[in-house]
Amino acid sequence: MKKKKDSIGARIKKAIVKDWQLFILIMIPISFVIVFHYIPIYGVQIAFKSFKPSLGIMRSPWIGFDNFKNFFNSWQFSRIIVNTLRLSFYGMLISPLPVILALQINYITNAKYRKAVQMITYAPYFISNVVLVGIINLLLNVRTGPLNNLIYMITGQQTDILGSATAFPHLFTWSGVWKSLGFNAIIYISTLAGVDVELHEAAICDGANLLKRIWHIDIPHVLPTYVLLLILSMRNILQTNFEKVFLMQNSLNIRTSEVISTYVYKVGLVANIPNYGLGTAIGLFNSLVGLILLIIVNRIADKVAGYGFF
Amino acid sequence: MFKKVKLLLTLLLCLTITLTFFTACQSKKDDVSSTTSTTTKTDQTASTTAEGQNTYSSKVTPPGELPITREKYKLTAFGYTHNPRNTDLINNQFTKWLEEKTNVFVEVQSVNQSDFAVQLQLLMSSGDYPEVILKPNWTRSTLLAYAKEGIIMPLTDLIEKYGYYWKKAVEDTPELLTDVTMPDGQIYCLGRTNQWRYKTEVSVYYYQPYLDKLGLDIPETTEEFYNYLKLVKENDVNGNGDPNDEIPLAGSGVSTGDFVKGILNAFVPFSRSGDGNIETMYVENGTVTHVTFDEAFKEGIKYIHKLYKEGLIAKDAFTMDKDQLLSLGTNENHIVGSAFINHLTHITTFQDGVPGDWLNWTPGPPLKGPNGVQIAAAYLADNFYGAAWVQTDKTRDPEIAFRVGDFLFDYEATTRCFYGAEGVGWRYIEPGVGVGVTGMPATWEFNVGHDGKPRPESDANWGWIQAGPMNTSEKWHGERLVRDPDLNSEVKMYKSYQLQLPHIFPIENTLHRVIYDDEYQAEMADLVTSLNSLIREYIARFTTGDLDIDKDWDTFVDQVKKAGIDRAVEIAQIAYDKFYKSR
Repeated sequence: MKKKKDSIGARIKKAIVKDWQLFILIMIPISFVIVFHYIPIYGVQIAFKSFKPSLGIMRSPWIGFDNFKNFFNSWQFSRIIVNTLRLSFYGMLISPLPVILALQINYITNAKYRKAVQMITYAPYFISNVVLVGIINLLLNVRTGPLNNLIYMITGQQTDILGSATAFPHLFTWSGVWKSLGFNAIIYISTLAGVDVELHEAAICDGANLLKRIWHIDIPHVLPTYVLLLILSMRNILQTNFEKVFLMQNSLNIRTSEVISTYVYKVGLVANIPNYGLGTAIGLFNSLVGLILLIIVNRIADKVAGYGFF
Repeated sequence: MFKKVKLLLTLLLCLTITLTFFTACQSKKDDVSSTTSTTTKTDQTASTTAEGQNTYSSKVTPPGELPITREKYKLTAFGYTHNPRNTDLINNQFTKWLEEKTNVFVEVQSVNQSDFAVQLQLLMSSGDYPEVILKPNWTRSTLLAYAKEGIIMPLTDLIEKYGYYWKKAVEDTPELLTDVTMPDGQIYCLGRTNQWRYKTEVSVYYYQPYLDKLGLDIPETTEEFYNYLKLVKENDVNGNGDPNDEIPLAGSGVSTGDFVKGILNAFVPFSRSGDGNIETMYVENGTVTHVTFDEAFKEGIKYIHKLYKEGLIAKDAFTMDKDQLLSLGTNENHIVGSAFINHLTHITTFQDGVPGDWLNWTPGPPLKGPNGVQIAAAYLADNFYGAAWVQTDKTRDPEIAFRVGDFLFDYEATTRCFYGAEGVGWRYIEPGVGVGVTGMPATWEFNVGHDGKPRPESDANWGWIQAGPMNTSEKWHGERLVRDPDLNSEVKMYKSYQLQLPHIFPIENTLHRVIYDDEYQAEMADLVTSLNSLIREYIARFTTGDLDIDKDWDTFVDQVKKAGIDRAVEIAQIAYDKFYKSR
């Protein structure tokens, strides 16, 4: 090591003076993270307190883990966890669909046709959840919905699909597929576009058919992206699309449609006497489970396929 | 290596600098707000001691005199709008009229009715609330909790000293005073005198042409009701050639078309869920009990299930909302045979004075069950009205704010608040022209609709409508002219009210108006939310046949017990005893 010329402070000062533009640039994202991700951590203490708005966050009395205990002992606990996981795993089950769509689009040779397909599949992404649920309600209305009229013509029976608890997860998931399939495929389409053409030419020379080429060339290319997105989605496993679930809820399907986020909304905000502490505790629990799952899945992916990303 | 350390260090430094900067800001802000709140508090004590010597504040004119202040004054408030009838309470005809009359400009920040509860909740917890809150829709327990924390100020002394219109309103309707007085003898809010002595939650209406066609009288028992529905189902009563398109009973999943409540009240008391009450709970000889596990309750659900199974209730009754129910009722081929509704507007559209299909709806009495139970799904009107006017600790001049609230109990203010400017929305009439709904000589008349012309589109934001205290007393309502009693919806609904009146469940036998102590409040609120939704969910599942009532009854009982019904009864008993002992 060279002998020290300046103190650390002086060196930092020098660095700042020298590269001040860079420091200003980095200040923006850092302050964003601090303001919106670190400062709110101070409010997490509500999870361990009996929060009274008039007393404020700091002066409300501590109650230890009571909020968590209340949540775990609630008769709703197992039900909302199961419902949430059901929706999440269902969502994961259909996660290869965008890959398949991307592969299909990738092999369309007519450029105009390809553009049209891509456009049509990703357009629904820009429909808001409120409108989407409105469309579902209109389609499935018992008396006036076209789908129900079709069923009525065939079977002679009216069914209230919107009020069916067993139909809810399917309705929720597949309407989501319709909405975001094309959009989610974009990332895979661009990955596939980066595949070296020489690989395909070599494969064709070796006599590989289309399916073989997809299996041995395209899939391995897409897989790291797919796994990365899957790992990232693990973080949200206990967070479902609140807006859509809430809009699709009714007293008949509540059995399968009450999920953590809607429950938090109900006890934490709209109840006669809102229980902020319980709401925060559940939110904290959500994040913890998400973090643990994220780490576990990353480990597994790393061990099994070598695709872990941290 | 060295570079890396350097970078890390600089990053760390950046972080600490920004962090300290923000925390500094935060703590400074806290300091400021706490000092201001202490100063206002000392101010208040100072002014109360001054008032203690019985000197009126020089800021206001003597009680009953207008304007209230000699100089222009601004009062901040928070309230809600009833889109699309009014969308803005600041640029509002009533707010302007109020300013002209009183010299006080009430700056009411407003949000839409559906967002109000959540927005108010956030406002209160942020501590950034205004001086006055218009109809926060609180229960007595909530109001008392805020009062205990010092956020809401008592109005008792102010009423004594500055009250004028309020006192006159109390003379007309003494219940107004008893309903807003808390067990500690203090008054923390102004209420609203309600038009009738009681309010229906839902009452049954029949389609008269169907009854005529089938040669039936208005059904009175559940048996007759079933027969009527069945005949409507089996016959082509609307005569369009399709015997299957009639819907004998329409209802919806929301409270304004709650057929479950309407029917169950022929078997057991199934009361109102508002006021933090569990629907199956009631009071018998001073003991809180509940009907959830009773045979009669089970029988009632079985009856609804029977109706549903035989296709007598609309298939989507549980999932239907208010608009869908209305569109069903206004179908061009009339198809609905009966409905449990809160107000005629929920099943049909009409204009008073204009004949139409709506005249065919005839009110019926509450159904009488096989065991002779016959209860109206109604409750005694509560003049508390969600604490219609509360003043927070931010109020700079309590007496000025109170005088404005007091003035809202003037009859003209009430009418303008509801219907807008005189001559546009309503008008005074010569005495002796006619009578009102209750037979009293009429003094005023509702303008819009009688001449067949709806309110012009340009005439928006005419009043606060129902977002605040008002004096819609029986007198006010009864003095409103009814031009054609046969073509008047109020007369029709008044008839329904009269059919419900003898069957109202006594208020002492319910848990309404009971106040929960601080220590139980949060717990009870959780219990109420979860038990009500659980019981409703099972009723829906039993009705639709998703669960078999005989086979799965034990599961239901088990679930309800697990959700804590016994604990809820226990807490309610404590609160009930305390409340009625204090009276």
